[in-house]
Amino acid sequence: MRDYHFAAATVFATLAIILIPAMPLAQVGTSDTTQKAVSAANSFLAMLNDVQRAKVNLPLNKTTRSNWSNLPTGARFQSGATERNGLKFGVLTAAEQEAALALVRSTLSPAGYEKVINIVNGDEMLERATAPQRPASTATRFGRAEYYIAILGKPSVSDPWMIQFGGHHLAINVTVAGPANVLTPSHTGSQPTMYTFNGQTIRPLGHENDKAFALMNALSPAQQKQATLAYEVADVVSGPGHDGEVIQPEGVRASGFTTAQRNMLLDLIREWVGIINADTARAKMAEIQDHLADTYFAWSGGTTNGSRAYFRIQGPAVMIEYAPIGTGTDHIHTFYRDPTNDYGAKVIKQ
Amino acid sequence: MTRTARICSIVTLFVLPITARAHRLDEYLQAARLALAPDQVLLKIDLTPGVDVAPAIFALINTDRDGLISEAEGKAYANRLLKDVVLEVDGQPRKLEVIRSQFPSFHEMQEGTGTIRIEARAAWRATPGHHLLFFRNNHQTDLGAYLVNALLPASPEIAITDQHRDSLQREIKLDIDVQSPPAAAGSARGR
Repeated sequence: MRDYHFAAATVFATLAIILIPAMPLAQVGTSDTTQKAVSAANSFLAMLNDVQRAKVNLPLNKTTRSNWSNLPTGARFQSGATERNGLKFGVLTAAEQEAALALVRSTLSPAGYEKVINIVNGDEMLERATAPQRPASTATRFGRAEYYIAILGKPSVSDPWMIQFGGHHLAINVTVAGPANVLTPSHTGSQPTMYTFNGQTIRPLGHENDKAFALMNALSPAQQKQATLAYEVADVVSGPGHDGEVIQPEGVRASGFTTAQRNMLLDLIREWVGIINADTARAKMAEIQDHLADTYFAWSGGTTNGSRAYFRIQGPAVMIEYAPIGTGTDHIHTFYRDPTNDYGAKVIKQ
Repeated sequence: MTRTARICSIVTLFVLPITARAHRLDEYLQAARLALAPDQVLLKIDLTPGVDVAPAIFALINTDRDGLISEAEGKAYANRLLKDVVLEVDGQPRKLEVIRSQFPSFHEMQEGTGTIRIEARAAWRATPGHHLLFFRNNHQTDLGAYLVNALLPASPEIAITDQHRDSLQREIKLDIDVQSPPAAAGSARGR
């Protein structure tokens, strides 16, 4: 097997790059999160001209809401579309970008927003490192300019609408329906999985990786045996284009976990659930906890942190996959779904 | 510094080595899902050739070499794929028929992001009792990287009680229990 090597992309070099600071924000979700999101959406839309507004603000329907992807610009997405909904940052002014980010921030937790920005910044690095080696004919584009913001439906405190923010390795889909904010389905990923920014080491999905290995190693040998899938997993199964599909669960069931193991599993799940604002995340975690005995943890790969490993968490109200792509560990895809409530199915009757 | 100014600021960045883009280039990823319904087994396969093997795969499909995949060429390839697939229920081969297929352009396949999607169905009557389903994908085994999964049956009468795969996920064996005579027609979750 051969991986795609960018010869000159081995960059211990110093790059001057435009990045978005992942500043901590005092934006903890509250009961008025929806009102804040509506205000942020309307502020952003008010900054746009008619043509821009028509591109950003689309109807909310099955076709528009399912147009998201892990793939970079230039690919045909799993939805069949060749472009994401909305406008990309590359055509927005700095002020418009900031308004768009304020909208994204309005429904997320500070940690969730930081994770999002770390993924975007990581992709900017990928663009800087790989662009010089890319043939001019290649349509693929990475980087911050290729992240899209869209608003599906009319921002409302009562009627359903949706915020989409995404690009390569990121799909934040927040369905807003009255007080409910729903994050599923969503996608996080990273390549590189580690970089240095302003002297700090950034691992966008480092907690997910470390907590999963810690949990796997906290299982008894018998539990590990149950958790281990006896086959290679080359890719995820719940990515874009697979709405509504629920696979037969596998792995070890958490009903046999000790309290400590259950807490480790919940802490791992919180890495995805906690991207959304605190109030929403708290309610979602309570739902997952209620079904924890029927939740499965499955693993394929090495058990030493740093090894190449795939894992899956599947329960009645949650499906999480974490998969290394290719042969190494420097390219990760993760997907977070709720089989009962993707796109807010439980709160939107359509 | 204002937030906007921070966004626009140029910062110095030390990048760790990005030595590999890490997409599989010389493999033909084939992801199969099986959905059991009272009256059929539905098979969905997504096939994504890596950039190194995309020209060879495209040539297999585009037999008239005009650079475009015609409906007839797509149908012929889908049928060729199904000939390479084994589906048995209770030891009896089941004939798969193409329901729909979708092909990317050569350009998309060249970029490593073009996915062929094929759906097929085989008739099966879910009679009460225990059943064993066997699926094996023998398509392009010299290039293939495989996934195979069973979807949770939508019909409450059908339960998958056990599943076993080979180490490469080319094949899967499903133990199935059908509790009572299901309704005449039904569909699997996933549509």
